Amino acid sequence: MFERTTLILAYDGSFEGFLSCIFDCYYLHYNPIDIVATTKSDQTTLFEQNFITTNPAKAARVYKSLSTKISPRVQALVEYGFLALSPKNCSTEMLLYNFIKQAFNLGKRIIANYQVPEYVLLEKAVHGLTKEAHLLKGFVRFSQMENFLFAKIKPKNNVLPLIAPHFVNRFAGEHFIIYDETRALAIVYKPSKYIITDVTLEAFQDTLLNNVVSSLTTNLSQNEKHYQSLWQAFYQSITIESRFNPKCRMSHMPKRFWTNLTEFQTET
Amino acid sequence: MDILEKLKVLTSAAKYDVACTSSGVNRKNTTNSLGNAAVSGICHSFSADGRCISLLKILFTNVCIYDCTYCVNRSSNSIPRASFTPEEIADLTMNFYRRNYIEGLFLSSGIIQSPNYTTELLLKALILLREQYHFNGYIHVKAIPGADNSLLQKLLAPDKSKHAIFAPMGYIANGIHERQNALVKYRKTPKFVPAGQSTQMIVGATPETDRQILTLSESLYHNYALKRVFYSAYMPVSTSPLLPSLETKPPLLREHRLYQADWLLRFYGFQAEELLDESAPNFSPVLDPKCHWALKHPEFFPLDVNKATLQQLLRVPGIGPTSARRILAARINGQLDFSILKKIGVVMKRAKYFLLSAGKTLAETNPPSERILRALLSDKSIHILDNAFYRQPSLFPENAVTEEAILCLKEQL
Repeated sequence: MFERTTLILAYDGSFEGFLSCIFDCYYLHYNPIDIVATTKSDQTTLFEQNFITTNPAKAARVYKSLSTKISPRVQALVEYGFLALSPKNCSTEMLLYNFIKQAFNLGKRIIANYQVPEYVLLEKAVHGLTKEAHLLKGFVRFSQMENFLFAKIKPKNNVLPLIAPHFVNRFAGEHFIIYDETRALAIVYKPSKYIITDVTLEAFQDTLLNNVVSSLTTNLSQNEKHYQSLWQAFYQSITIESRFNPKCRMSHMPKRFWTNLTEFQTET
Repeated sequence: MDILEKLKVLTSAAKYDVACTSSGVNRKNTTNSLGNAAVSGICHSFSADGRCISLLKILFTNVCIYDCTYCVNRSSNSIPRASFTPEEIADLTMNFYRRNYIEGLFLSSGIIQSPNYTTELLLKALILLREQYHFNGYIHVKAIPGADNSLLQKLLAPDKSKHAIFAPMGYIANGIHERQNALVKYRKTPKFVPAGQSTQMIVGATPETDRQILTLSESLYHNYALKRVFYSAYMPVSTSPLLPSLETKPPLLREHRLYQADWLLRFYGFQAEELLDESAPNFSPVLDPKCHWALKHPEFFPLDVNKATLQQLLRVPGIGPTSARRILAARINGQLDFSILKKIGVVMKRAKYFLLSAGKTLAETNPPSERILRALLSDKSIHILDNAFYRQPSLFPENAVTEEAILCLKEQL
């Protein structure tokens, strides 16, 4: 069988779209050198680019086969891997593509098989994702807006699907939005229902969210400012000066999180 | 005094209490209320000293009728005094929790008027939170020593006897300078069920050895099912002829070693007896307790990584619970060699002296432990070791030199 090795596959960026690519690779014997999330019109390289239209039926078949033909753990790893930050020199999609290929070869023994580089890389990426998601369960800071709570985060991985159930559970009676700056995604919750929605830049211009983000820096309500300053005072007072250890703090709470933490937003 | 000032005063007064954790409890939220508890525990921030901030740790009041010499809040100390009202506590907790600043409340208190009066105030704040605000987050509250049984019953499980609650306290007080015994209030409707107890031991104020402290911790974990024992290096906060002087440096390394050993007890299957014995009752300043144990037990090593049990693997320096479990899972797929161990996350720098794979070792087989010791140490620790054991050889016996020097000086003078 002739395999086309200079092909780039493009898809719409959704998990279903990606699984549709896997489906086509399997049945049409594609051997892509890259799989990219893009829109139809984009053509960034001189390689031949094939846009795969998302097909829920195909995606569902691939998704199911990962669990039934290999193992539920492989399915979970792929699902989480899709949200994780890609390792160096490799796109997440290509890593997943190679991993799935290997998984169909080796079966469920790919799990804990540290001789397979795809497994090692993917496991590491997923570990990074779950670790960041756990940290952000603590590092999200809400501000009280007029009638809802708003928080802004800037994670490396796409953690929103992982942290959503936690916050929905904990703040069951509240209305809240958690906005992911890196991906322009947001969890929007009102009692008993939440969605993770795409907030594209154009749509962002004149929506409610935009006003919210600007008012975060300019005009917070007096009440909100009051509690923020109380929290800052608490944070200052809890430190034992004679044990000052900035290195230890930084290793637990890396500086990239600080920009969105209330305790570091002291007014100048 | 406004609430900001009060918060500053009463946080500073509570900050030396380190028995502060919310992990190990799962508590569900009810529909349309606020809060739950996560079993893993969540750190919401880290203070500048590197400690996890998960709970709003405050004193209800730092006014105290007692004059305990070691305590910052003793009645004779001249510090600013403040008291919250139950409403203020509830309001602060709710508003901090809603903004995801905290995981719950950690409420302790000085004794105002009488133990009973103080407990009543604490109870009022708790009832406000649980029943009026329907707060379902974590609450950790100090049982005030000397309060009436009936009041404590409201705070604690009705099926737990007073003896069961205070026996551990008396036990600790005999051996170790003990400051706090905190009890967790964990309500499971309609009963109150405590989630567990934790305690804090102050290290370095009294002459106990590490061995005595660790044996005590072990018995607390075994016999009293304590959730955690915390250790804190003694921070002098007051002058008294009975206490070490204010200039005393907190023994931070000792505290660190105790925590390392505490983890070995709880997650690695070690016994306190194995880690320290009569002849060496304190931990080595240069080497962690696990490496120290491994060097003292050459008969246990080298272990074949493809055959060892989980319990055996956990005793190898450089292998922790995560990598031990990974090794077990990875063995199904075939023989493990050292390059795979590295990918699994084993710290080969330490582990290589203690492991065999397919009959091979990475390092010299059974090198004298002196050499392994030097290899395991950091540069800084080697320096400390050398200063302790080795000296620059001298041509003259040391005493003779000094005596001669003195004579010489006297003549000159």
